[in-house]
Amino acid sequence: MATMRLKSLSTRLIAWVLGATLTLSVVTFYAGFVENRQKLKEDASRTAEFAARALANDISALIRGIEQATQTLGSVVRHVRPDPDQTRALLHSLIEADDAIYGAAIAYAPEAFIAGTDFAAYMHRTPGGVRYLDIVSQDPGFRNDPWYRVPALTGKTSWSEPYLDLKLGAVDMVSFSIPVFEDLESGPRLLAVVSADVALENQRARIDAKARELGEDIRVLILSGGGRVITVDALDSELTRDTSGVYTIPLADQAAQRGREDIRVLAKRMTQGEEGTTTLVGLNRETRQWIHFRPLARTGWSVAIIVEEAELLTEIQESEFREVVMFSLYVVLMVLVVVVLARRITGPLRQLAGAAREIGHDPLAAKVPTLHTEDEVADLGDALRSMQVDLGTYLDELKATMDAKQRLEGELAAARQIQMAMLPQLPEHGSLVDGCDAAATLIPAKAVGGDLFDLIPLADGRLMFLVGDVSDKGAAAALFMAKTVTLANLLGRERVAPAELLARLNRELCRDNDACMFVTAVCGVLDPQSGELIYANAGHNPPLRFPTDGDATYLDVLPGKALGLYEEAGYREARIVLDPGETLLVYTDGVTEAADPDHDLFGEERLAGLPAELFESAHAVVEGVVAAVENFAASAEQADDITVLVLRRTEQLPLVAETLMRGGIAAVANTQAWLASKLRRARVDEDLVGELELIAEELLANVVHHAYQDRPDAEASIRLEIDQAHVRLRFDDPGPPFDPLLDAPDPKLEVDPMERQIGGLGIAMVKRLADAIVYRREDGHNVVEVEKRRAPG
Amino acid sequence: MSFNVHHENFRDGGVRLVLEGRLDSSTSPEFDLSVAGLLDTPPPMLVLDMAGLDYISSAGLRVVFKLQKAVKTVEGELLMVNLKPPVRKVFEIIDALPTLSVFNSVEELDDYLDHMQAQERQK
Repeated sequence: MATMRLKSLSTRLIAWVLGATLTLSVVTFYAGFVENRQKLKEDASRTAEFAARALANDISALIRGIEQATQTLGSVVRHVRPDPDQTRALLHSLIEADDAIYGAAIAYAPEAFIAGTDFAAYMHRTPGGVRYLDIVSQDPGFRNDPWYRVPALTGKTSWSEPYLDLKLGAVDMVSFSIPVFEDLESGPRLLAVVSADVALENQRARIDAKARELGEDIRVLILSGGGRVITVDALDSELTRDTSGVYTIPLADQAAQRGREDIRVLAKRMTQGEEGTTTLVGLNRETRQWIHFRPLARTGWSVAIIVEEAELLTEIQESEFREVVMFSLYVVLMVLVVVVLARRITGPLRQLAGAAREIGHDPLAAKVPTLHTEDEVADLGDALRSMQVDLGTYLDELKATMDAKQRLEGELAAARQIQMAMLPQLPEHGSLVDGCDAAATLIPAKAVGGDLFDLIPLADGRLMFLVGDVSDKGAAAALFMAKTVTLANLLGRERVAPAELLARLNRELCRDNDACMFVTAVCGVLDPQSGELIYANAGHNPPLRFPTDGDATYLDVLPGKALGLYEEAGYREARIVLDPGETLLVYTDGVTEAADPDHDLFGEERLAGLPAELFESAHAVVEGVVAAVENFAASAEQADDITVLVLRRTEQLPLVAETLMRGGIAAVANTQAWLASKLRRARVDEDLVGELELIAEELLANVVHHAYQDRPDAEASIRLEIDQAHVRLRFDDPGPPFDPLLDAPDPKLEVDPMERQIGGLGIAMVKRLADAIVYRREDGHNVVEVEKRRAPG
Repeated sequence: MSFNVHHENFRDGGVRLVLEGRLDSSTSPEFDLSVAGLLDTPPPMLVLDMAGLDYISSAGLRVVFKLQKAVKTVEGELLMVNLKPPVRKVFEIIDALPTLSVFNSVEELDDYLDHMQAQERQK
């Protein structure tokens, strides 16, 4: 049983447990996966946010430093007297104050320095030290540049857009400018614009370094308030840089030109001062990147931190891989546990199944395994063991019962044999009394029953008969039947008349009959010589008489009580005369109440309808009745004993009988049958019966063929006369004159029969068979008389 | 009582008719009909097995003779076997036996036919 069957318990257990576990695990795993991803994304987003904030703080600090330094310079400019040397010293001090400051300018408003002069100075760093420039001479139109113009016009501090000032600094930079006002009686008047430049080149490196501190792959994008790129590290240079190499075109416009809607939206949102997170592909690489952006205070700038998604995913994927490995290990472990469990459950079950099969073969020898567990399977084992014990006991009891039954059946069969032996044994040949043909049979039903019959030849040549039926079945009925037969036999031999016999039998049977068993019976005495039949009835079915011609009739029976019930019961006799050849049938209700498979009964009508008068002997009638009943019952089981007793008065010789033939050739066959029956009843030798049949057929066929030319109205009367020595047949037909002996051509027997005229063959045979044959025409009839001698003996 | 006949092949090209019951004026027409084919195209050997035949009258004899005549036309032979005494007697009465080949049993018939065959081969 090592192979695992597809529908076995273990297979199903494994399938179900694994199915459920796997489903549950997949759901859990998936939920974990989704949650994990979400969490990791949040982590990543937070990381970017922190980085952005940190960077923003850093930049803010830088900006604040520059603004404060510039404001300080501004307030100094306001309070000192304008002087070129002084101005130079101030510029120098500002550049020295903050190394983020690349250059600084103090540009006095026209007429504000010294009347009639125009003064503006610029100082910036060079690799070899600071350089001092006179703005007015270098860039006379400077007051139109944004760094001057915006604070001068608005009166407010201002961060410029990135620009490249070729005349002054020649680097790309942004400038912070403040207006300085002097208080006049007429109100504040613009004194000067003080401006500090931040060289973007330097700051980019600084910011990038700062970003590296936050993360290996982190990039930074800073947009000015006008949407121009301040840092470049994060961006595809193709996308941002214009032909002059300066970021003078806003990023949003550049992106729109290149059809990068996603980048345009990002730039727009940043410019509008939004804070948020987004992802997009192709900012500076063909990979997906996570971008967190937030506005910078005061400047109107926006800082974006850019993280590679792959970086984030690596972490997620590593985590997921770990989970898959764990999950697989879990499933393998689960399978092992379930398989082991299933084996542990089904192993004992298989053992028990084997034991159960063995019990089927041999309950006593089978060994039921003992299971050392306390579970349901062990219960099953216990149940099986107890079943084995019960089965053993049951089989013993069954065997005892069967033995008893067999013994009983043997005893019943023996009883049945004894019972049958009590019935008279009839001679196979010859008759019990002269002048009467008698036969009887009793066909027992399965159980010991209570039918009985007796036939007692009396010394005066008469024949006494008795047919009875004990109520009930079984051993008691059988004993009662035995008692009845024995008593009846004794009484019968005392030549007691039927009524008296029944009365005395009744008294004997009533004695000590506490069980109230009873017998119905018909008893009669037939005198074969006179045909006188005296009979009496004790509650039994009426006998049936079959005359030689005509319908059968049931005998009238005088009422009489069944035997064994009422001690004082009396019985009266009836008397009839049976004609020679007439048949008497006495029977029990096993005949009339025989049932077919549909529970229909054979019935008295069917019995009376049997052509008993046509059967050749009493024995043939008995067999005919039994055959008819058995035919009727077919497969239905015989419920009751069947008893049939037949008496037939022998025909008296000389016997004379007549019949009429009417019709065609078919009628000839009927007449033949009638003739054969009559001859056999008169015990005519069988060979002679055949010859007489042949004679009758040939002569009658002759009448039909020749006298009537095969017309259907052919008719002839036939007279049969049988005495001890002869059988005579007389054929008489009213047809046209026809002498078969003359008119039929005489076949010449000496020639080859093949050559003879076939027509005369029949008559030739008749002539040869008959001992004497004559034809005469008498009263318009054809008459043929045939005589045949009976063989001596 | 009725009549029954059934046809069987017998040896090479022969036919055996097994007759049962009574062959009288009412049943002979039926027999006549059932052998119509044999009368038209007679076999070289026709065996009538009469083990079950109880009675025969001139009407039945006529059919037998017709069969015999038909078989003769093809130089064949009509053989009868297993005649019951009443039937045999009928054939005796009309002196038909000398012209017919009658056998008491199937064995006797077989011996005869084997012998005839052996003779044929010797020729």
